[in-house]
Amino acid sequence: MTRLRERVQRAVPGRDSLVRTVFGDRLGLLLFLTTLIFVVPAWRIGFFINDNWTLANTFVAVADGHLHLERIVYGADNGATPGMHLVDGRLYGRNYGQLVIALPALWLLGGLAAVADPALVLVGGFCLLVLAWFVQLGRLLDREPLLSSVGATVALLAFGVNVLVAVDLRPYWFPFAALQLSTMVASALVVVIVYRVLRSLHGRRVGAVAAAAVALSSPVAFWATIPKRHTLTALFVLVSLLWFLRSRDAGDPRTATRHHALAYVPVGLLAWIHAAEGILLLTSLLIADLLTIRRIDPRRLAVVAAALAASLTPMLATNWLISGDPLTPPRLLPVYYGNDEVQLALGALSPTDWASTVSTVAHSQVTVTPTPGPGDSSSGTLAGTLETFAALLFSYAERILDAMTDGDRLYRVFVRSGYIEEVAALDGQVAVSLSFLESMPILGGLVAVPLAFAGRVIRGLLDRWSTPGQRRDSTARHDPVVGADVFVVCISVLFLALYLPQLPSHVSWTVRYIHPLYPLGVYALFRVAAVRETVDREWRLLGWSYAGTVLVGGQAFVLALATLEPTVGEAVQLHALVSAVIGGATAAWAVAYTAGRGHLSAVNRDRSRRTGAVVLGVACGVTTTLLVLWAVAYFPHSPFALPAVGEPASRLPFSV
Amino acid sequence: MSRDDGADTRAVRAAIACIVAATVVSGPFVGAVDLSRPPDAGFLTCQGGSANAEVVDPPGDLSLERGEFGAGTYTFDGGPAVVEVDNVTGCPRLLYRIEVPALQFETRQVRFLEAGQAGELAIPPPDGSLAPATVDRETYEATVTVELEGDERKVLYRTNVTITVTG
Repeated sequence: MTRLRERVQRAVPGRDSLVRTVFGDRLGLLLFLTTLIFVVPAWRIGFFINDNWTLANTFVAVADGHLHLERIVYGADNGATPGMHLVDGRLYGRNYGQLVIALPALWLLGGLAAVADPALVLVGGFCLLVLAWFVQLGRLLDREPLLSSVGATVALLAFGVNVLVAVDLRPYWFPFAALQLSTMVASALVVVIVYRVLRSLHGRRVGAVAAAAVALSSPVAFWATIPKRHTLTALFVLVSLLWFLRSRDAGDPRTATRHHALAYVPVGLLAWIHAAEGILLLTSLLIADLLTIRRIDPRRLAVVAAALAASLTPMLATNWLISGDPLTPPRLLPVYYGNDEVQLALGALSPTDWASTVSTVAHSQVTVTPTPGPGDSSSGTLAGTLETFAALLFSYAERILDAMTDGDRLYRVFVRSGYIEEVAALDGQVAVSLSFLESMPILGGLVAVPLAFAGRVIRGLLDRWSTPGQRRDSTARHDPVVGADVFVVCISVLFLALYLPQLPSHVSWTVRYIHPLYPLGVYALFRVAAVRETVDREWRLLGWSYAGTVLVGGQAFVLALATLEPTVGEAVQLHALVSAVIGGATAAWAVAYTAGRGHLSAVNRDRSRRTGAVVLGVACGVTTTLLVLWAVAYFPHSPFALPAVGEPASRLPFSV
Repeated sequence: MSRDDGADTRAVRAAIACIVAATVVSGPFVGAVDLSRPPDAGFLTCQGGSANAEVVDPPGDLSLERGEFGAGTYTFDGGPAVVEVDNVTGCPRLLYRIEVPALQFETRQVRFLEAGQAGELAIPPPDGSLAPATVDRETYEATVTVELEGDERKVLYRTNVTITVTG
């Protein structure tokens, strides 16, 4: 019996190998669980913004087995929600790739609901995550007996408390909840990849701290429970980064080729969600490859091209099925505004009526979509597509230049949001859309990146000058990490170029259009030696500073809110102001320490590092506080998936 | 492969068993008990109703204040309207409305009443965000109304006030 079990264990990949493949190691698994345990309590099942209803209705259609919508389950009866498109009398949504990815979550939820109470499935699932977290932490710290018992107790208590106030979850919400489940898992994978990438470059500790910052103190947590594309965009960009780096790191050429091919797979998947973003990802990979690859091996090229082509197939097929043109994604199709004529088209009319009604409406209603794509619905040929693309690129280049030289715009987008007339007018006159720095103040430290880079270049030149026999630059270019850096810079610049002309934007909350820049920013920040060294040596102080800020600062914030009785806009802007200030402090410290590191005495270096640890800890702490209060207090739009969270949230000593 | 079945492993298994069991027992397959209750009807499904309501402490002076910390917009500030309610049936609601004709602006704070509710209820003035560009005077004439809205609408209090703009 025992031998049989051993044999079975050898035949199927065991738990250990699963943990290694997906999470890197046990710490990666723990970070995955930590992210989920942090974001699930913030999970509200209901409409939040913009195209939520569109995606959920389209998801129902996809689950029913077709791309067009036959029934409107959520929102307005006519289905006229943002992001809805009309082709030949049929309604189509967008982000199809995201919807297909979420199908297993829906099947799982539906399957479990057949045997169990769906509301308790969510609660029970969360409690099992908590239990797993304690068990894994126990194994990691070699305290399994103690922490397992604690975990079992905490999980049962959490379950009991939630059951006391549990409210039915109607099957009506299953598709919506499944979409949210998929984005939550995606956000946890974003964290895992940040960990894996930085672990392979700079060790476990640096990797873990960076990943924890993404999990607990970044907009990644904010968007985890919101069924939009941003979390998946970030995930696919990071998956490419991970495989790109691993292909450069790989020892044997076969593994290198396989990993290289895997780096290009997210291109097609991302394009299936948002075509323009897929193009940006592909462009960045190509640039990074051309600039840093050792040599172009035809066989490797063939494998990579095949992987890319395969990954593009679902997107091309979806586009072809919807518009008849594989290169026209849903976002470039006529927008549906829910006019009466179209509403009739949704009813049972003869096919000819459909076509005529629809074409007039479509043409009178088409607006210029600001999102550039690979082609225009009017151009069927490749040449036409290229021409449109070139024209789009040209007009865009002009807008990008304008945007990049607009100081006020840059300040509002990156440093301090405040009241912006045009934005607030569309946000119900409430200034709730934050700047990049306010959304994640530790990224203020990114101002040290150019400085650190310049320092390295100068040192490299000096080295070469002092040892003229060596040709260093040609090998440095092939260093795996240089390739990864080039990729990160390219994709970041391209995302900024695509979206900056539209920013600052309303309902953007955390400049959501450039969402991947938060985890990528953390990568860049931890590539700065000054930051890395600080985290590596002073991680305990960093942890205490963070914990102190969250526990003491968080309560101070609640007290301040109770005393000041602010409006929602004031509360959010108070957070923003505090974040901007601490972000500025992070920037000042990072620049000062990066510049002075080489010249400081050992004592002063220690002191600088300790200062840095405190500043970074506070910066992360204020973000966590904002995330928590945001989730429970400021925008109570729908009931919580974990009903027990709603009880204390409704009893906070202030109402905004 | 021997397994270490310590107390902690048993605790973990027991916790998992309890959670799974409770979830399944309350599910449609077994259906022995229903541990989750139906959601509250809420204001969308429940309408109408009646109550005895009286304003015991009318709203005082109102001002329009510029938002702090860079929030920018003007919001109303002032004391609450205190209403005493009694004999609530159905789900009527109390409204505290501010109308500013010069700005073509109207805003309201709503409080839903529950059947059986009795006692005093303080309703703060509604925030009513106004863009700074639209607020260009030092004072505005406004009408303040407190209403009960159930099967029928009843004005409990109405007065004209002068709102001062500060900040």
